[in-house]
Amino acid sequence: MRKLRTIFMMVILSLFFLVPVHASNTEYVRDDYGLLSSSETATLESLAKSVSQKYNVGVYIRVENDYTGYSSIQNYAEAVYADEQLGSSYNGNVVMFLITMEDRSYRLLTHGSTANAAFTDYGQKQIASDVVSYLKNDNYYDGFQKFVTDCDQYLKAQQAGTPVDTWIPDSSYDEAAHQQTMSYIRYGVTFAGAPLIALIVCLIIKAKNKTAGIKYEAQNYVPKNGVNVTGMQDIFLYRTETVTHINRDHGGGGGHFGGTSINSGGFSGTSGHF
Amino acid sequence: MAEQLTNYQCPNCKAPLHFDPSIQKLKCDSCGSEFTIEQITAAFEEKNREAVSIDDAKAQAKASATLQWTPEEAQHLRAYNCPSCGAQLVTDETTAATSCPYCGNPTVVPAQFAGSLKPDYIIPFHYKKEQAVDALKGFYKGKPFLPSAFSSENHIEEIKGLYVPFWLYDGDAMGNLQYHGTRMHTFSRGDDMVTVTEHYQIGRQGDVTFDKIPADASSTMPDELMDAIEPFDYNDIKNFELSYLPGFLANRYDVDSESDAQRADTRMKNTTIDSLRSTIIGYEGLIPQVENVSIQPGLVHYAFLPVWLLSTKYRGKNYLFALNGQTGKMVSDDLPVDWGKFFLTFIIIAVVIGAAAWFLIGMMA
Repeated sequence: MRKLRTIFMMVILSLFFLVPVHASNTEYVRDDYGLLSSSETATLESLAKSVSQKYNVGVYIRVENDYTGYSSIQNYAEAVYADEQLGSSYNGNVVMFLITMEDRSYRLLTHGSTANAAFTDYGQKQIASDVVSYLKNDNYYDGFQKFVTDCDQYLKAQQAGTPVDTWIPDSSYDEAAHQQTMSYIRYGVTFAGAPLIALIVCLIIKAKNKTAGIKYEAQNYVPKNGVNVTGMQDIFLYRTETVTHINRDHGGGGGHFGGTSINSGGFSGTSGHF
Repeated sequence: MAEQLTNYQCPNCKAPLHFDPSIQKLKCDSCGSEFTIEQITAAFEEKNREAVSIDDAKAQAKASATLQWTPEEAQHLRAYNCPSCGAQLVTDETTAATSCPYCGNPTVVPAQFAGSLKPDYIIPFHYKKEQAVDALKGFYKGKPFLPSAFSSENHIEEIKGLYVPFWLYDGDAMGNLQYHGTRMHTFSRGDDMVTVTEHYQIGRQGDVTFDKIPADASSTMPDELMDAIEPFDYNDIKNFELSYLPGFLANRYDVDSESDAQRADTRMKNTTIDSLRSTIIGYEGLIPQVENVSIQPGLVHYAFLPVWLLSTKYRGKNYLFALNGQTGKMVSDDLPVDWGKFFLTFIIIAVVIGAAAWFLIGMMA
């Protein structure tokens, strides 16, 4: 009996030690540099966790001193992803904003099919721009909060089937012709359309000077219930159908959406300084 | 000799009476006594009968003899003696109510209302002369292209309250309309946009009743003005009495009801088509195939309707205004246009819209 109790206690203890290991993997916000207060960290942690669970994409924030031992912050960010097994909780879908304070660098990293679809190259640059505008002013808490709320919006857009992206015209798209067309429209509306509208307005005002005229109707002299409709026929004869092919091109010319550039490791991202 | 004219004089002081629109009674200019239409009608009934008894040809002969008119001109003139001052009044053959140019007494020619010439109805004046003048000032507002000098410089040359003779046409119109109608709806199928057009044969039959469509029965009244002051409110229409006339001018009709009937028929036909067509709804396209309307004429009523006529002169040209004496609706001939204002407005609007378009399209390009 005592042996069984000992085994039971060992199992309980082993579980107790396992929990912190798992917790460290699912730590959404880690500030090794000490930029954030404990309450700020807790708030961001709660926010990031909420968004992560909502879309099944891990949203992480990491603050480090430097990336010594790695050739670039990009490599360092991928190493963090691997070392901390960030992808294990959400089928490899991760978006992480990592900064190193020594050289004031940042790396926005994404991994996994859902995350890479939601955070296109264009979208990544937009988010990075949003966050950096705060970091430049040493407003780290607001910057990271902006990162999490941006992630929420971008993931929501992706879920709706319309990820935030930009339209890139084909090389065949004739920008010069488009500009010329717009130029014609501009001159036409300005020098022909505007005078025409002005003339119509003036003629309407001028018509106020004419108030007399022969009457051709007598609606005022139809007594109540004076109209008696005795027959109404609406007979279907035949049906015609015309089919027009829809040009699904975006805008006036050909092209495609920017999409997401993914490296051989399945990562995508953008880097810079703040 | 019996008098051919009737002066409506105050039974109390013998001063002239005139109809006052504000109280809808006859009022004495001198002592201020007021009399209802019924009172005056009863008092002057015998006098009017005597006036009618005078042979119209005799009056015509007198006009011809007294005044040196040609026989053709004399045919269209009438001469009367004013019962108040004895002066001789020469009027045209249609004058039914006027005033003596010498003593100013309102006079009525009862012979113009004898027998079949007697109107069935009359709508009394509700607007007084002063109100007509005020209405003209208000009429100039809301007309930005009217020359500023037109309202400031021109003065009313003449203003007169006139009972205009009208024919009022009753009738029924039966319509049979046939149209080809189309309904369209569009949907997408794969990469195609499909537009389905359904074609229908549409028929409508029905009849419309009309009650008292007016058409002025005076050749001297411009039809455009008389049509434009409509509508009149027939809730206020009265059986005709001569007592409504003192103080106003009146002419009997000189366009017969058959000649005016075409105007009423056209209005009945158009309104019947509009009424039946308004029951056709839900179609994007409607092509008329048959629009047959047959008119069943009804009674034709003869009525005197109240009109204030005002004439002004601007740069040598006369402008005529007409005010519905019952409702106060005013209309006019085509008024002059200040072309300077016109072109200035044109340029301002064109420049503003042009600049906005230039800027906005430039941003979009």
